[in-house]
Amino acid sequence: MAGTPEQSREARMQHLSALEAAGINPFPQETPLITAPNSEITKRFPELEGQTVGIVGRITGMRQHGKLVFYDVTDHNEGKMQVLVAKTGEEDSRFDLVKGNYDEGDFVHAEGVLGKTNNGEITVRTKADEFTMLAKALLPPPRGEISQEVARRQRYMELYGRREARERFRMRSEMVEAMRQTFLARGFTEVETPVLDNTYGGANARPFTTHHNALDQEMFMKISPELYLKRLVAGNMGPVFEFSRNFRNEGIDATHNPEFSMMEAYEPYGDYNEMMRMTESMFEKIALKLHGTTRVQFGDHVIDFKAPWKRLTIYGGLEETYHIDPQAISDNELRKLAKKHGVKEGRRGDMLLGLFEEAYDGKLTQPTFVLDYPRETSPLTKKHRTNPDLVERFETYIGGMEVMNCYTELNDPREQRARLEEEQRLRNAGDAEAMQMDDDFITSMEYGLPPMGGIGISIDRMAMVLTNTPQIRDMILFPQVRKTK
Amino acid sequence: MADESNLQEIRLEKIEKLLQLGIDPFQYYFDKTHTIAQALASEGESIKTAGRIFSYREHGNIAFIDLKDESGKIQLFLQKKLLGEAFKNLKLLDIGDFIGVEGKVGRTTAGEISVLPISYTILTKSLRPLPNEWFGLKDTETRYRQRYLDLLLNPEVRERFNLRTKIISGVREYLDNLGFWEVETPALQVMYGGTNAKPFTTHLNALDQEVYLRIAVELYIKRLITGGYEKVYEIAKNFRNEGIDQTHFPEFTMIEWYEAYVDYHTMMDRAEGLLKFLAKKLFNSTILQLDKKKVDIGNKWPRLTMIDSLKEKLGLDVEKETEKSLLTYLKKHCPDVQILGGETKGQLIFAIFDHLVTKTLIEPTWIIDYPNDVSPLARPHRSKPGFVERYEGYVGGKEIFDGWSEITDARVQRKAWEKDQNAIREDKDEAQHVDEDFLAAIEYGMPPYGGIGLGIDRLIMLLTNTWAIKEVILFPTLRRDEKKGERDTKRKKSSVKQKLVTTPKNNNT
Repeated sequence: MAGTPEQSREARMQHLSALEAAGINPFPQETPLITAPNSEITKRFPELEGQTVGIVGRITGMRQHGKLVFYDVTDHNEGKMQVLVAKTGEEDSRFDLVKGNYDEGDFVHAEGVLGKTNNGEITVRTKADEFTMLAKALLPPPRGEISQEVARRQRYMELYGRREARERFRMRSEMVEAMRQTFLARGFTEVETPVLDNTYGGANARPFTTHHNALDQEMFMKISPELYLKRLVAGNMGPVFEFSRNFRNEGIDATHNPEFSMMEAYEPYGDYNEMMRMTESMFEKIALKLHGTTRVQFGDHVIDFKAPWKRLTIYGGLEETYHIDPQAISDNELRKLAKKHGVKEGRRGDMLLGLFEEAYDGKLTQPTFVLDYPRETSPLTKKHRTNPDLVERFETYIGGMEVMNCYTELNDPREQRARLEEEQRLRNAGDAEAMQMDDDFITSMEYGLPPMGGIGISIDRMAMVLTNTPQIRDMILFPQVRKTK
Repeated sequence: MADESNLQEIRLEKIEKLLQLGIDPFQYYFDKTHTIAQALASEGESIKTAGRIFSYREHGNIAFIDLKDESGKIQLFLQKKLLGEAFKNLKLLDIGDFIGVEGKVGRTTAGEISVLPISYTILTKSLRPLPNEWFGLKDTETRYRQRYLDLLLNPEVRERFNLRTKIISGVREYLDNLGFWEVETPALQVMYGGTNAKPFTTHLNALDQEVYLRIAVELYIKRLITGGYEKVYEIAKNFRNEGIDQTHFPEFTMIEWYEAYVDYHTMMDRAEGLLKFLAKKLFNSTILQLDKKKVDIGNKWPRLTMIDSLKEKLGLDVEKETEKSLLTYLKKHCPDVQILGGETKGQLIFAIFDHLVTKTLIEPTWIIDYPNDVSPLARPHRSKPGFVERYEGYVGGKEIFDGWSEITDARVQRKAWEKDQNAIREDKDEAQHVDEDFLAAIEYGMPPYGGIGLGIDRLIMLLTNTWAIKEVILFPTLRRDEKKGERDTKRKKSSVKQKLVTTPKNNNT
């Protein structure tokens, strides 16, 4: 009874028992010596030919020819090595045991002489005694299409079954590391701020709440690290950044997960112009590092990360789309225009931004800095140096998604208090996502905050555009899923 | 008498005066060409630097300012002959303000390296005077609640958090050089696991379901081993809904790493190597100051079985004892330990070890081979029935590392979990659950591998010789602030002092 790839769990359990009955531990503690990853052995073949090597991996293929069995053994670096197990004689009962009970998916170690087969394939020649079971797989490898449901609930299945999935998450890790190195090289300090807190702030969002037993009080989970990072700048920590897990108790869709990763950075003496220069140059380099080119496929588009990126002001966009002068348009006309385009009536700034979003939502495919927002929309941003109705803010759009949000930070505590009071009024009027007053934050600002640029970069979404992944849930290893019944 | 609000009034008036002069006291940008540390090393050069004013002294046509940024402190030597009209506006400055200056780096007649500004820009006017003395900040609660003041005024606090950053960066460097991948796994989980602890719960609106805040990353990272990762780590915030004490906190940072094809012996080599690497990197030495002792971690750390450690330290041969005699021993030597009744022999051995032996492990020591009923995720020992291949690393009497050879046989894991659910414990919520999906992940096959957990906060406490967790977390979890008003009143007193020292009368340079 030969092992075939599709052996069911039941058959595999029988193989397991057969191995155990023969005194073989199918889950040994120790791994014999590994010479090098498989890809390296292939590369170093001229040097290693004829020598004894030890290799490991999962069995990913097997071909039997009487007294010979060829196995493909693949390790995590995608390195595949052929292993030839030969029967040494009629008394070699171990050979039949291996041949009959090793299945695809099993982790094995092979020790043998490195050489080439007649058709030129690099091969480790060994005998059954030296072909050690490291861990028996009781379930067969995933085959064919892996459904979206399985990919998200059991990510290990997708990683196991699809090389692209492994590549996707490796690129994510590389991107994060490259960002970290960029900021460190620029003299930033990496810090950690709390997730559990007595208050929440730094964004307009609905928080998660939980109960702290020891203190017997309700607590919120962080929606943004902003207000804490700014306190650190007030504490003379200089430029700081954090890779932060944030939590917002909101909907789940193609670009939103309740738990998501952001990088936020604050640079004293900088402003939003400096942040634009910095980020476009950083991601141009990261695209080059990951793909060897700045031109990256995303869905049906090719996105070019080459700097400088396009700059589009909110007013400029409004002028071009609606042929209006956003500064001069009367309140009355603005309300009419908003109504016509299905934008909710509200404060001037809200309507102007609504109209802009109506025109550009989902359309900014190439990297674009959208800048200079109406003052009312951004309670933590400094007013524009030339137009007091605007603030110095930009959002970056790539592939139609907002991927960054940056301000020249508001650091005048009098104005900050007034802006948060305005938010408080909205809150009292029923806007649950409006920000709340944070006296301690304003106190820290009264001790003095230098001028600074601050930015939040969505790790999940930047990874999406850099790895051609249209759904955020496929860019997070273990996204939030509904409980199975 | 000037109290804090009067001083704020004075500063607000100065803002008005500046605005009348056409000067915006909240600037947008400054082209800082040199940090203060760089400026100190640039004698003879023209530079632009910026920072916060920490002191101000004036004598006629000259004035001195101490300016600080995160890199250091430098003196500004301001002269009317260089600044002209702008000199008289210096009186609109206060301690705590941010300014930028342009000028040559030179020396005063007293020989002190100084910037000789030809211009200065007020970048941010501060409205609130800094507590100039430790007086107002001795209160530890204020130090934690307003950490930014603590950082500003207390160089050793700042130094400790700098070390924290460097240590974490060093941990990454060490693992990255060994070829590890850093990943992120979820903090909100439908099922919690990976250790015995009580979780926080919250409600996920989008799916209308209760979820838990993670207590450990273990079970998710291990699934990645099935997915093909061989060397993988995460530096994670974990949450445990438990008491707060000197070393325990509801929110804390932990690194776990896993490596395929190795067992607990190799894991110990790696972990020991990490601590030596960090010590050399940070202190250029393997000798750590721990409390009042100096401990050299540079030698090979001994590996002592738990059984031998009890023999060696207590003269107690637990293998010869019964449950009953061990219970008597425990009650006699550790009268404070809560006994629930029905404790197994393994639980009693661990309790005696934990309460009597750990504090004696000052020199770095590995304790290995734990009773299996206190370690439901650790692999059964290859040759000692009833024990698992678990290890803990102790330094200075504190547990620093905890890990084991991992279970790769799903049948073994299922049994260990079933047993853990029935184990005697104070709080049933702390039992580990049978996680069917995780068992499936094992069944798809996991190579032999080892794992480890290292509390980052504990590591920082160890390497900074600060055995209080609130001192190594920037913004520790605190009770909702009910006493804020009271503390603000206290501070007013200190501002009076502040006023006295800032009056430009002390004429000495």
